[in-house]
Amino acid sequence: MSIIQVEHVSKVYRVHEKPEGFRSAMKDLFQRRYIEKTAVDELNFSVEQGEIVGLLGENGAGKTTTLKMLTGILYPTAGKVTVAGYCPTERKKDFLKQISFVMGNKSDVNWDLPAVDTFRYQQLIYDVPEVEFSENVSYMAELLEVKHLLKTQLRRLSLGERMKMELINCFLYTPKVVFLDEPTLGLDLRSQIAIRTFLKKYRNDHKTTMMITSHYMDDIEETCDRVILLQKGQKTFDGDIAELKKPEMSFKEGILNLMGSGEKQK
Amino acid sequence: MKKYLYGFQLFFLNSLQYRFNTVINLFFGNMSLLVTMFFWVLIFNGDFGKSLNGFTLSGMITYFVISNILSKFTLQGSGFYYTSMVKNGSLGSVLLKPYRLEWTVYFQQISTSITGLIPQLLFVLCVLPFISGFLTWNVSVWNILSMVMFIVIASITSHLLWSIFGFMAFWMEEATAVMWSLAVLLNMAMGMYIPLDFFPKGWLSVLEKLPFSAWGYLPSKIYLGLLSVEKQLQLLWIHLSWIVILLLLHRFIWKAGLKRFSSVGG
Repeated sequence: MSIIQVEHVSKVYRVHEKPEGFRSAMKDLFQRRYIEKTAVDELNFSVEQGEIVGLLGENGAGKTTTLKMLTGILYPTAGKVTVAGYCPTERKKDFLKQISFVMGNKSDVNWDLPAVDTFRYQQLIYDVPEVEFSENVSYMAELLEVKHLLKTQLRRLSLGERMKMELINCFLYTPKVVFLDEPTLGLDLRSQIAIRTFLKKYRNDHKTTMMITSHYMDDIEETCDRVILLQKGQKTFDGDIAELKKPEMSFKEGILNLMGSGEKQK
Repeated sequence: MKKYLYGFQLFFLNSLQYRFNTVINLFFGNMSLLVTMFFWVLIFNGDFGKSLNGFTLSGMITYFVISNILSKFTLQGSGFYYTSMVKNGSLGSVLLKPYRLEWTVYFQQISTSITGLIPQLLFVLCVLPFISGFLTWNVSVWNILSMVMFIVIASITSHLLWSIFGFMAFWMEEATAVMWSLAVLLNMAMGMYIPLDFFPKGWLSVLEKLPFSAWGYLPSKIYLGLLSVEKQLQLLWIHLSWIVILLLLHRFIWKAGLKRFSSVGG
């Protein structure tokens, strides 16, 4: 059975339409206009245990919304989501202990304290035994080359170093399913490569299922087994990465081609 | 429980990271207390024999010293914590933690209270030689025990009620203006500006039964020996019932709010 199952899932946001100009803004105080914006539309897919799936699409295509529904942060407007056998929005303790969500633009590690303090807190929250904790921190800190920085206040670290700490924090309790939303956002090339290497090695060692969104095609090409392309909330491609790697064109060109044909279909 | 206590410790450490801020807070965070004392000396014309609504000048000054200290256990911060988390979308990452969020926030806020309480107690100790003549010393085992019970109840009811106010952000996005307005009203209802005895008689019998009176007024009155044991026990049951009512309300509004959460920001 698939570890992630998404059936006919849609998400519609009710958005307040802000008018332009002073007069309209005053009128808006008494009479508001709302519009419905479909972020995800009738989405269907499944992911097998140990697979790394890349979720691709332009800004606003519905990638992050999809990940947030898979983790239970957002309630779908319609459809059914199952992750590791659980309905994510029920937020059962056993489910939460099996998943992790790395957000490239948000930090879960305390800025004012050394990362190791947050890791200790994470250890208690997820009931990680001491031996497993020490082994995991040491294994990941070595792999990401940040062992010497564990006791430095987080705000004093560079963006790349902070992201690496974020990864350690999210993988600390050996989750079964990991969702990564733009994990290399704004990082230099060296850090990007280190993170990709880490993700591949971690999957090979732990058979972890991962879903990654990224605008850096190298992240997808080097780490993923499969790609799902979203366009305006709809799935326009779902297939093996090998299908997109052709001798006559690069991976990036393949994706751009797909995006073009997807637009035409729509 | 260990994870909540560690969260408490982490929050405490966090607030001690900025030494200068802590020192400044020690000296200037308590100026309002001195101003209030000066204000009441003027009202009483410095006359220690005079009585206003059952309060002598020393009783009144003691009332304000105690209610100021105890107000630290009014966990107003819980509400502001939720509004900012909902508004900036960071609530998403804490929703994924396998813990009871309401407990975690409670312990974090208690930690903030204790961090605020230490400078306040130090300040009172520093000025004690100068103001001890103005204070009423009415220490008995029962009074202290009863005060502690009301303080614990106050911390729970204030946490629950302010959290409920914070949940307004699910519907309003920006709820801080409403929260600050409520803070002023609640400060009045908890007897922070003036003891509730100064309100018309009918008002007092209602106000003392509302959860706010336990946040400052009742424990101060108990210390001063102005509340009979029978009355204390009667009010204790009422305030314990408030915990149950607020807990149910908290759960109901939280569930409804989560369905509206849009987790903005990536």
